[in-house]
Amino acid sequence: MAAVNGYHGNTPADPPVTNGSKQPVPPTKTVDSQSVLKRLQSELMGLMMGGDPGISAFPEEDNIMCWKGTITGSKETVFEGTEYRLSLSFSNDYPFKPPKIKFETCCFHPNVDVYGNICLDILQDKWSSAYDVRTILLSIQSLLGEPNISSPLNTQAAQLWSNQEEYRKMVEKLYKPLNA
Amino acid sequence: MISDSITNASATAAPTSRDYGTKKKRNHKSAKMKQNKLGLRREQWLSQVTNKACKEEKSGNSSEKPDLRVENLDGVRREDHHHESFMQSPSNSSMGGTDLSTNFSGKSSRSSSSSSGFCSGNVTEEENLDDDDDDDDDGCVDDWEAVADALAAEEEEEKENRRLRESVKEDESVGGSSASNVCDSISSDVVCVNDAKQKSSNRAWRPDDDLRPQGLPNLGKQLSFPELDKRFSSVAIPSSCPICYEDLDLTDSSFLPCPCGFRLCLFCHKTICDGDGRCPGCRKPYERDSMKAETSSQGGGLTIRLARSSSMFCRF
Repeated sequence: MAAVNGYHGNTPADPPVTNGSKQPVPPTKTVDSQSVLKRLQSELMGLMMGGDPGISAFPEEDNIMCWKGTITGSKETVFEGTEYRLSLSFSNDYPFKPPKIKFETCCFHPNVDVYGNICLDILQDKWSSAYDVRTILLSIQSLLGEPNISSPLNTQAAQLWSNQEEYRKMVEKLYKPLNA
Repeated sequence: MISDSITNASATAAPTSRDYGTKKKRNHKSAKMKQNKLGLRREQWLSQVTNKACKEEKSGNSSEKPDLRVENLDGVRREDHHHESFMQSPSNSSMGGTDLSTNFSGKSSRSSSSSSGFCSGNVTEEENLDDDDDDDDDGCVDDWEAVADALAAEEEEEKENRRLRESVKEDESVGGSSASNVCDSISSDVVCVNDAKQKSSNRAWRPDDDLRPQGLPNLGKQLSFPELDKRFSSVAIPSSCPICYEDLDLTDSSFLPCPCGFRLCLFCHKTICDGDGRCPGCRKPYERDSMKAETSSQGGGLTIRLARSSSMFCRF
């Protein structure tokens, strides 16, 4: 009986406990977003100081959680001379969760679908919090010249990849240069 | 009374100049001394020291305003005009005159008619005015007081007359120079007194000051060196977490959670362990389960973190 009473005594106490557990949640979230802010700001600094050729990224107007990036096609690939714009969207879990990255410029590539979605392992299951915007963009840049034909999003591109001359023509045909 | 003083002022022009001659001699002596001492920083000193003198002489006047030391010599000269402007209010109330000489005679007659001592009566009167007026006007009290001090040895009536003459004279074209002379005498006196005991009380020495003691440390350097040291130390020890970019503290930098050698702070490690639990450096899962087993087999006396690190070192 005493045990039952004790049990009953505990049950009313449960709601306050859950309330207590709810209250700390928002602060930890704000701390998280603050750490995300710090991380993104540091990355931006590194990007601007580093000056990597062929990649760039910068936050959209007033939202540091959404960036615009550009990648230029590497030399001696079918993408040489082209430039692609991407959007990077970071969550509050970043860098523990990968950012969402899409091509905004149409890109004829085996691992990029018509909507600009990218199939890249490091942006999904192979993500590591040690990656950053710079390494992501460099990875995508190298993905352009070295597609993964075995799991294509764009089957036509995957089939055409073997014929580099034709592929180059297709790239030039579909490429829309960046304007604004 | 008022008319008397005015006529006195105009009639006894010769004594005025004579008085000024004696006074100027004194001023020249002290000015020479001071020039030898101070050289180019003379004006700077003047402003500081006049205010200090003001403080010391008043000794107990709580109405002294601390921001007065911004004044420079130009400010002191400007006070002549301030003087005119704020002196007009009492004279206007008493006689409505706009002439400068009448203003001043009206004022001094008022002070003399108040039966208290000349100096104190003057000061208190002006203090009241000063409270209402600008900060700059406080310097006027210096002038009046200085004049009063200079004439302290003289007889009462003569003092009053001269006082009147001087005040009239100050507001004429001669006024600028006479005012500065008065300032000189005050400041040089105070310099002599203060020179030894409080050289740097009001303001820190500048690095380019001629009289700056050699033994004084350079503040700028002192400030800059610790900063540099900090920077160097932070550069020398790779000390920020690669995940959150926060600085690693002592515990963090001795924390090696994975054999691959990838270091990160405890907070980020905790977050990763709450998630997929894989090392960001090698993508291998942190060996959480085996560690838990170890700690439980050891009896759980150690904290998890300690057990982890020690087990890592034991294994590899």
